[in-house]
Amino acid sequence: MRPPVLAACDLRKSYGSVTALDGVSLDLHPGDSLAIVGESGSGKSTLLRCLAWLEQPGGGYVRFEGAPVMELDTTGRREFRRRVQLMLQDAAQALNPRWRALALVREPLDLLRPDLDATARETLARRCMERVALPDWAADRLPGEFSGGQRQRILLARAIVLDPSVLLLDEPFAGLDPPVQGELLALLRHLRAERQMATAFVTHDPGLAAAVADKIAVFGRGRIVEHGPTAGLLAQPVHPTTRLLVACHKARLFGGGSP
Amino acid sequence: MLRRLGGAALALAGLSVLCFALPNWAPGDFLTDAAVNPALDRSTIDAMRVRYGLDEPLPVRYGRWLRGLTRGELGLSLSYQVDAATLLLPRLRATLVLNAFALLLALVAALPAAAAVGRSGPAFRRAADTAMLAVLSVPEIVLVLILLATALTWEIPLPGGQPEGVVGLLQGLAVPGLALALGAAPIFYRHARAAFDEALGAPFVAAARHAGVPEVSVQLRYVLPAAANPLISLLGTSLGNLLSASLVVETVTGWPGLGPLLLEAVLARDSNVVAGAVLLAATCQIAGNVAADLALMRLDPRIRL
Amino acid sequence: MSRRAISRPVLLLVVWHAALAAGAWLAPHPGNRQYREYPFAPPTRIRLLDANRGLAWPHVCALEPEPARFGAYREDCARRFPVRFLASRPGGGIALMQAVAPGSLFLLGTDELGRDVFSRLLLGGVLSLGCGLSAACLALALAAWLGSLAGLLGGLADAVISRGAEVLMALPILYLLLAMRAALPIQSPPLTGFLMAVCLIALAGWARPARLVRGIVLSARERGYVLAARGFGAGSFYLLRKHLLPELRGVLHAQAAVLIPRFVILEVTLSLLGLGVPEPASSWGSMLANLRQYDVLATHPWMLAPAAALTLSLALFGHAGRWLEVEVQEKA
Repeated sequence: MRPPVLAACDLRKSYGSVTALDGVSLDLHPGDSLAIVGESGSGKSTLLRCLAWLEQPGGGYVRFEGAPVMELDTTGRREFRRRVQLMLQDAAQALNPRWRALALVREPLDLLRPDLDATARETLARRCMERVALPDWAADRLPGEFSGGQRQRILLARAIVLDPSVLLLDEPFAGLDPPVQGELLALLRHLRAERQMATAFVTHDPGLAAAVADKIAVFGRGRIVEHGPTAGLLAQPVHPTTRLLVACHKARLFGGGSP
Repeated sequence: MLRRLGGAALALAGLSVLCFALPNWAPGDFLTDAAVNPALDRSTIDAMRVRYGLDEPLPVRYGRWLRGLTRGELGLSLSYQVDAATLLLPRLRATLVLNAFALLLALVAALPAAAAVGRSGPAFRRAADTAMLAVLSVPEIVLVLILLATALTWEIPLPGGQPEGVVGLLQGLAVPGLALALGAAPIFYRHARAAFDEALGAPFVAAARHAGVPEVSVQLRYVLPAAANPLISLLGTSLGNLLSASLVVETVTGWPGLGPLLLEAVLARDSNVVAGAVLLAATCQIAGNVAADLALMRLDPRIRL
Repeated sequence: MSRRAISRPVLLLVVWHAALAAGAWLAPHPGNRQYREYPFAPPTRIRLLDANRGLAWPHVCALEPEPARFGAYREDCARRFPVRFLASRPGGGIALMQAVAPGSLFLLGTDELGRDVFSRLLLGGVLSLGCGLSAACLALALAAWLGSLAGLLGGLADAVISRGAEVLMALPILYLLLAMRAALPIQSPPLTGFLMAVCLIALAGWARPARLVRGIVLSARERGYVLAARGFGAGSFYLLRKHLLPELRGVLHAQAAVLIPRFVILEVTLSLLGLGVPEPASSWGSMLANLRQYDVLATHPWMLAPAAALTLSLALFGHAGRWLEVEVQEKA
């Protein structure tokens, strides 16, 4: 088996008296598609931020291609930043409202690809915007002028413009209409196949997880309580947290109530 | 509350360093000017420097100065050859008398005016607000010069030096006090207008009126307490501005407060007097802020510090 | 509306500065020229009627010092001198208006050395307002950098900056200024004095806006896009320049409207106390310094002209500030 591209090993993190991560370990191999499912407030977002090294874990390691991220030198850290991308929750917040779309998509290149000249960066950014199916007129608009789905596409373009090996997504489709969700899911699947990216995404919705992921890790109270291949795990949940999640999901799907 | 006091103490400690370091850090000292005097030769001046401890490094002198502070001394004034505290304390009293007088005058003028204007017609209200804004843009320096010029043209006596008796005191206070009060009153007026407006529009005031509470009682028991909070915090914060303005006004009118002495000491490089005066003024301001917080806490049961 | 509207009050101030500067350029007399024979001359009356009460070209009567009393003058209308507009000035340059020699025209009278108050008023205005403006810019730059550094870095940097600001704010500002002034040489040439005043005022006044900036940066730091940029490996400097400083523009504008008038007053006060911009350069403050002698104040009211000009400017600033306030409210 190939070595994991990104691995977490016994991650711990607490804020004051609240424990967000309580010994989390997981491996992400090239081409993997992992869904991390759990209730809100169970520490999923913290896990992703620690994996992307936006927050330092209180204990444990994050390994990138075998090397602990903590010990990477400046060059190594830049390489890590380029190849591991985190797409944040809530596109309205994650895009600076004063910047135009093209500048937003170019920002990662400006920061991490100083080897390219300005024209090359702009061409690359435009190509990425095209790839995520943003219309031509999008380049000069401000984030406030886009719909939620389009903002999500801008975020996605920002994430793939650096051609990463790992894409971490935090509740990527929260608050979007089902048809828009469907389009974005399809786009994500294409991108993953085309670029051989490993993806890990966090959601509270087991249905969504089933739609994209090959593997599922169920998250509860700061630890992974159950994990395995998607189909099997959702069909025969063992842990109470998983059962509850699956039951809620079914009730929503078939109970006729609106989500 | 303890944290508030601790913060004040910390600020004072920082201030003591600042107050001491700034005047003493200056290029040249009191004796540099003395060197111009042909009657004194170099060795005498060097000997004097050693006697006053001016040759030692700053931290050592700061330590000595701090030890003096605990005994209530502010260090020797080189131009007067007495301890700075004996010079400064009467001056501080005069400054406080002036500021208290001005504050009282400003409040007595501004609050009833604000309350009255708040209940008058819109045309009068706008006119009064505009007039107050006009006064607001006249700084204290200009106010005091105009008042002085007026007093001089009408030959109102302006007693200099130590005031005698109550009449003398009031005569001496008139120009500087009025200038300071005129400077402060428009600010109080503006905030009081806003506070009264808000309090009068509050639902509980309408409810009290509806329940038949007499108007006087509504004003005193409902409106005034509701409007008091922002005014008390304003009093605390405006003390600093008042003390600043008072420095100029004292200097121009010759009121024997901290201001003229501080100016003289800066020009004479009398560092201990400078440090002492600044430290005393800062203590006053910090004390004022803490007092305002305490008053707020007493008056409003919701506020806990 | 936003961009244009914000600049309207600023435009007002720029126009006012420009008017003063243009006036200073066209000053009737060189600011330092001493007409020793005319100390404390009152404002000269410009006459439009000739001896026969007929309409005439604007002119002035000859000014005769009274031999017995210092600073007393009488007009001798047997000798009249026409006024010339935009004539060449003795020291070079162009004068707005001037009486034909040997007549003399002092629009706002002269001071104790016989210097033209009107010319010095214009020159002093450029200096005093310029000082307030530069000090405000410097203070805001300091506040923006220190405040955002404190908010962004947190920890020790935040503690040092915040405590420092608190200490500065615990002092009445004028006392602080005098204490800082005490650390500098008392005598200095005019240019040094001007720069010193600018730096002192800025150093004394950055604390309050810095605290505001810190608060805004603290809340902005947690925004998604700042976090995202950190995810792309952005350093603090990049975040500050690209994401946080633009956020602060509105606040800095509003603070400028508050600080400029306050700093102008501080410069005038310092100079009035003899610790600001030194003679022979004219600042509104140093022009008012003579009035600390009561006899000057009582007998030569035209020397109050800088006070009037200061008040007018402050009223203008206040107006601009309220304009800005209203616009910011409308925008919100």
